This record gives sequence, C-alpha cells and structure tokens, in this order.
Amino acid sequence: MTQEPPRLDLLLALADDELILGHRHSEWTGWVPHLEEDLAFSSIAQDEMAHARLLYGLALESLGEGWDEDRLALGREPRQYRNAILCERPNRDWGYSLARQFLYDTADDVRTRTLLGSSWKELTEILTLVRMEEAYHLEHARTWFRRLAGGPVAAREHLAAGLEATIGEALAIFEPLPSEMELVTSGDMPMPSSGMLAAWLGGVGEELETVSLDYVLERHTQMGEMVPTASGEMASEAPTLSVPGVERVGGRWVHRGEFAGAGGRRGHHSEDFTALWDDLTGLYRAYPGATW
Amino acid sequence: MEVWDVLGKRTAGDEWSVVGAVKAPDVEMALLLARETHFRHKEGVAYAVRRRGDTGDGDGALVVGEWPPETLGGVTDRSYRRQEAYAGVGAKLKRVAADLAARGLRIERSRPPDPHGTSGDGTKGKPS
Repeated sequence: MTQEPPRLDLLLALADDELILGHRHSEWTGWVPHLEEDLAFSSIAQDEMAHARLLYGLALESLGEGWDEDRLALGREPRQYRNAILCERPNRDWGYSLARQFLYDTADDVRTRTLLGSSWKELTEILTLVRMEEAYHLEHARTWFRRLAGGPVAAREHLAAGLEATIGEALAIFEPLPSEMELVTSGDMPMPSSGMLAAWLGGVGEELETVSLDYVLERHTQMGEMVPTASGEMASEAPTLSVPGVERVGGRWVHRGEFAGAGGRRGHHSEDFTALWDDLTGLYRAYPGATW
Repeated sequence: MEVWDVLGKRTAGDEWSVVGAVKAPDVEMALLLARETHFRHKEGVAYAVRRRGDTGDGDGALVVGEWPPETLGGVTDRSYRRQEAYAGVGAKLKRVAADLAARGLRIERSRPPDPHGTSGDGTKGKPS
C-alpha cells in the first residue's frame, strides 16, 4: 500500500468511516441510558462494521498478495486509515453520539445515493445493499433528532451541544479525496465531493431550521434565540460558535472555504485516533496470523 | 414509561404472536425499538406493537410496523449474531491456543475483575 490507486482511495474513505464509527458506536454497548436503545445502537454498530467488510472485500481486488479483510481492517498503520476525523472522536455523552450519528448518517445517505450513479458496477451493487440497512440508521437518527430537539430543555441542550461539537468536523466527511480528479474523470465518482457537500449541507440545514437549531451553523458571539420546546420550557443561552466556511446564501446553507478537522482522507488523524487504533488492532497485532 | 407488547409473524401466513415487550414513551418509539430489539436477526416477516392492557376490538389496538419483509432484519451477513455461531467456542479456543503455543506465543491477557465478587466456578471469592 505504498501508492494507492484512485479506487482504493475511495473505498478506504467509505470503509474506514464505517469501521471506525462502528467501533465508537460499539463502545456504547452496555452503557446506553435505555436498555432497548442499547440493543438498537449496538445493532447499528454491527451494521457499520458489516458495511466496512463488504467494501474491504472489494478493495482487496486493488491490492496484491498477502492482503485480506482482517489485515485491511486491523493490520494497517494509523497513517493508512482514511476515515474522517469526526468518526474517531470519543463518544463523550449520549447527546454527542446521537448528534454525530445524525450528521454522519445523513451525510452517508447523500454520499451513497450519489455513488449509485457511479460507473463502477461492483461498487453500486454493494452500496445498494448497504443503503437498505442505512435506512434503519437514518430513521433512528431522525427519530432521536426530532425527539431531543422537542425538549425537555435538558435533552435539547444536550443535542445542541452535540451538534455544536460535531458540525464543523462533519463537513470534512466531504473533504476531497487525494485522487478525486481521476475518480471524477473516470466516472467512478459521479460528482466531486464538493457537490455532495452542497447537497448534504442544504438538506441538513433545512432539518436544523425545522427545529430551530440552525444556529449551530452560524457564527455566534452573543445570546442565541430563545426557543420554546415541546415541554414549554425555554432553552437557555447559546454559546460562542464558529463553523468555518458556512454561510446562508439565498435561503440555503452553503460551504465556502476551509474545513475544520480535515486531513483524515490523507491519513492525518487527531490525537484521539491513537488510543482507538491501539484498542481496535491490539489483538490482531499481538497474535499476527491467528485464525478463529 | 409505558410498556408495549411486541408481536410478530415468523412467516406471512402466521397469526400474530407475542414475542416480547419494550418500554417506550409513545407508539413511534415503541415501533422503532420493537424492530431493533426483536427483529434484527431475521426473526420474522412482520412486526407490531400493542400498548399493554389496550385490547381494542380484535386486532384494533395493534399498530403494525411498516418495514418491508425483504429488508426486515438486515441484508448483510450477521450469522455471527446467532447462537449457532458460538458453537464449539471452547474447542476453537483450544485450537487457537495450541497454534499460538507452537509459535511460542501464549494468550496471557488476564481475566477482568469480577464485579460480583464470585470466582469462575460460581463460589464466592475470598474477602479482601
């Protein structure tokens, strides 16, 4: 894996996002505040890992002898993982994790729907399957999003804090891939990442506006608007925010400019990735070649 | 929080039968959690919830989930979640340990602390 072919660039971005976020989701198993939801979130974690597995299987076609699914998932050095930094951040609290799931799965929906138009038949076949299960995740994410946004105040504030903490790095899910020009030219990507980002940001901006949480997209330096929740309580002061490159133009949220938390697609990760990688790959590295 | 009985059909021709229950604040969340907790392993082709104690007329109180049978329970390989995937775990562990021992490696990660203060054979551990 010294020089990655363009298709591997795309596959690893897709698969590593699913693997790493699936790993973070799985860390909630046994700890979710509600037993039924514990099972639900664990199932979503397993789905994400199953999707990564399908994509790694396709990636093996671009690799030489000696590679297999396990080695791809667990046998790479940290700099060889191409997940978005958003996916590797620790879970913090339940509001953070739900906010991240909402932003990630809405972004993944735009990304996989777009890629169904790819000229790469094997990829579109996998994504057709993946999207059948991602529909579960979207329903889960949107149900919780509406519910927490509707109050009571503590729930809304947890969600808002989670959105504030994730929205900037969520944009970088659409950070351009190193081989993007080749991928677009070949038709493997029907449009550049910037096009997918515009579609996602426009849609997610509308969803945030529906529940009056679009302020998380704006630069705030003073008191936020007071929004009554479904329980009749009033949300309190909004903190200072800064989401680089996001503006509202002609009634629609658009991205112009730089990303926060970019670099994942080029193998640059946050300080949080090291501990995750150590935990995720520890067994594989301790017992190389062991089979079950 | 209210209790909702979860009902399912293993095949399309079956009658509804109760398969469990979930706690949920309303029917939307009850349906979502019923599907997630009882129908994620290909257990059936249809699912529904009914507020406990709400009998209605016949199936009148039943709220049927809309997820289609083709995708209910997922479409990717999740055989490892089923009980048979764990058959022979002891023998596998012995085989893996023997393979590793032949290469000079040993599984030596210690067991995690027992939160209940009991030893592996179910007897109480020594007081500290």
